[in-house]
Amino acid sequence: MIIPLLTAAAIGILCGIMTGLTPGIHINLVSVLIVSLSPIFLEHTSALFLATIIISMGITHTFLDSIPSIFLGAPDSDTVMAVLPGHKLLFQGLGWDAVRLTVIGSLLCLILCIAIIPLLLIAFPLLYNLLKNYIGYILILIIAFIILKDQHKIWAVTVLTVSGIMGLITLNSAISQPLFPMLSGMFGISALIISLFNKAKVPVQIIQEYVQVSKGEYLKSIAGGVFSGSFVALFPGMGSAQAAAMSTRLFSVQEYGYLILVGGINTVNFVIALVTVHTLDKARNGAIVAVMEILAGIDIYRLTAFAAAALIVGGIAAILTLKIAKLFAVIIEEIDYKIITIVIMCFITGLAFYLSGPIGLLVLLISTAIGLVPQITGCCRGNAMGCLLLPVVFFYML
Amino acid sequence: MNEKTLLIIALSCIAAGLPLLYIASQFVTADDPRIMTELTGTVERVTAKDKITIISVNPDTSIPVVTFGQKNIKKGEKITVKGQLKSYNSKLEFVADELK
Repeated sequence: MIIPLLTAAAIGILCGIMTGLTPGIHINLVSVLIVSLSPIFLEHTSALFLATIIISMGITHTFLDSIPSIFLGAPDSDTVMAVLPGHKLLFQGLGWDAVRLTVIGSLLCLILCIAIIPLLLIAFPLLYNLLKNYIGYILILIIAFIILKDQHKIWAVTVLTVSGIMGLITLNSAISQPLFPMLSGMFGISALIISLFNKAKVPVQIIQEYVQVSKGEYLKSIAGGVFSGSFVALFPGMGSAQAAAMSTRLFSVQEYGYLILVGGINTVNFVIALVTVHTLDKARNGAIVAVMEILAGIDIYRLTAFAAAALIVGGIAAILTLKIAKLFAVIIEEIDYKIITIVIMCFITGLAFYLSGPIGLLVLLISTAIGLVPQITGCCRGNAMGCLLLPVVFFYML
Repeated sequence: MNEKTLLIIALSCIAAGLPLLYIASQFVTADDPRIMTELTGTVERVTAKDKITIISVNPDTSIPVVTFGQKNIKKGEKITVKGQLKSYNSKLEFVADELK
C-alpha cells in the first residue's frame, strides 16, 4: 500500500507545482477535475489514491503559491495578504528571503499542527459547540480592533466599509469565481499600477545565507499560524486571508514574522481541515470537499496516513520552493519589470474575463479603484480585507 | 534561520513521515468510493417524464436512477447501470451514462 500512496504523493506534488506557480489556477479547479474524471480513474486505481493526490497537491500548493505572489505581485485568495510585505521586500532585493520566510512558516507550522492533531481530535468538537454562536461577535471585535490600530482611522473605516459593500455585492452575485477579480483588483493590479507609475525597478536580488528573525518573533508567528489556520479550518465562512488580517493584529508580529505567519496559516488550514472532516464530518475548503466526494469518510488510519503524506510532501515542497524561488530571483533581474508588470496585468484581466465574464471585468475595475485608495491615503491596505470580513460577519449575524 | 537548517528540517519531515506512512498504510483501507460507478438490480418502478426517466431499482430503492430521454424499461427487468452518484435538490440520485 505504501508504494501507491507515495506515487500518489508524487503526482500530487507535480500538480501542486503547476497550480502553485500559475496565478489563477487554484487547487479547487484541479480537484474538481479529478472528481469529475474519478469514475474513469476508479476503474484503474483506488479512491484513497485519488484523495492522496488531492491532499498532496494542496500541501504543495500552499508552499509554492508565495512565489508568484511575491515575485509577480499576482496573488490568489490564500496568499493575498503575503503580497504586501512580500512585494516590499522584493523591491529591497530580498524577494528570495520573503519566499524563504513563508516556507519557514509553512514547514514549522506543518510540524506543529501535525504534532497537536491528537489534542485537536478532543478539542475540536468541544470548541465548535462552544463558539459557533459567537463567531460573528468575535469578528466584529476584531474589525474594531483593526480600525483602532490604524493611524488614518477615517480612511480605514472608509476602505473597510466600501470594500465590505463590494464583497457583499460580489459574493452574493451570480458571477462565477467572484474572488479572483475582486482580490486581484484590490491587492494585485492596484499595487502593480502604483509600481508602474513609480517607475519601480526590481533591484539585484540578494541571496542571503541567513535570515534574522528573533526567537520571540518565531514563536509568535508559528503559534499565530497554527491558531489562525485551525480557527479557519474549524469555522465556515472564514478564509486564510481573513485569518491573516486578524491574526497580524492579535499576535503583533513584525514584517518578517508576518510572512512566516501567512505561510503557516495556509498550510495549517489545509491539514487541519482533515481533522475537521474526521471529528465533525464537515469539509471546510474546496479541495477537501473534493476528497469527501471520493472517499466515504476519513477514519483515524486514513487521517494518520494523510498526516504522514503531508509531512513527506511538506518536506519535499519546502526544498522545491526554495530552489524555484532562487531561479525566479535570478530571472526577475534579467527582465524589464515594467514589461512583466504590463504582461501580468493583461494576464489577470484576461483571466478575470475568462473566469467571470464581462461582469468580472467590472468587479476587477472597481476593486482596483478601491485597492488604490489605501496606497494613496496611507492607511493600512489590509483594511480592504473588509471585502471578505464583512460578508463573513453578515453570514454569522443574519 | 539559514538555508542549511531549513533543509535539515525539511529532510527530517520526510524521514519522520515515511515510517509513519508505512505504519498507517498497514491499516488503511483503500477502496470505498463514494461515487458509485455501477449499479445492478431489478426494476421496481419506472416513472417517465418529458425528458427524463426515473427508475427505482431493487435492492437500493432509496437512490433513484435517473436517465435522460424515454427508455423502454419494464418492471421486474434486471438492469445494469453505469453512471455517477450526484446530488439534486439535496437528494442523492444515480445519473445513468449507460444502461443495459
